Amino acid sequence: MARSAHLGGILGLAGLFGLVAAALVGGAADAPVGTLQVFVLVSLSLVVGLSTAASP
Amino acid sequence: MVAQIGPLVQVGRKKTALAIHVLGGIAGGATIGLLLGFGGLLLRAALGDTLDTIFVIVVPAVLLYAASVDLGLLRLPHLTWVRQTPGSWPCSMGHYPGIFAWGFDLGLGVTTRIPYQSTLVVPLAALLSGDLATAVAITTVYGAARALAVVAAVQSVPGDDYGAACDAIQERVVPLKKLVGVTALVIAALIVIS
Repeated sequence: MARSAHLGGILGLAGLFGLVAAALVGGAADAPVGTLQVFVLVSLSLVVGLSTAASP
Repeated sequence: MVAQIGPLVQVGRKKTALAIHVLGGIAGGATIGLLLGFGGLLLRAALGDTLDTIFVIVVPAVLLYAASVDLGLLRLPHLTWVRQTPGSWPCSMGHYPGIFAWGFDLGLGVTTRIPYQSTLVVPLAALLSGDLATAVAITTVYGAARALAVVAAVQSVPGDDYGAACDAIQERVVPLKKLVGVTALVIAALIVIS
């Protein structure tokens, strides 16, 4: 149970980090590619990054 | 390199080692983001608004290709290289600097073996965004997420059985590859319709 909470916390932290980054860049900055595109690209980075624990 | 998790976190203080590894991942992602961001600014200066058109065409197209390969729909050779983070770094650099360098190297995303073709889209999108902040955000999140995945792997280990953790990770590669492929398809669609 504690381990699941740890993992949930880590993944939640990663998700929060990604969302904050996307919001900061897409919303506050004058990003030419647009808020939604920044958000989805950051989401892709998040998914790909979290999925590569097995890579060397 | 994932087999190094056990020795790395068992030598020193586990939480310190993992925190340094995550810092390395963030630093690596931010560094490559700065480089690609500056490259993107040069492209924007040269191409102007045409770069946005290129972005909307090229990024979804590469996402489509990457997703097709990751999902096994296209039987094409993977674009990758064989380099791995040297396991000798903790010995040659020292324990904690070696762990930081490991995170930094993985956070760069382009210097080690590329497990999913969708990974290629991360640096490409950062470059073609033509915006420094966007590029840094995309690659820093990648570096941080990749390092946090190692943290999650370590935290999931019952006791000190890191060998079992490595085996479990390897078994998840195929489903994770499909997850990444589906995500790439969804994101390609979102970019096109947005």
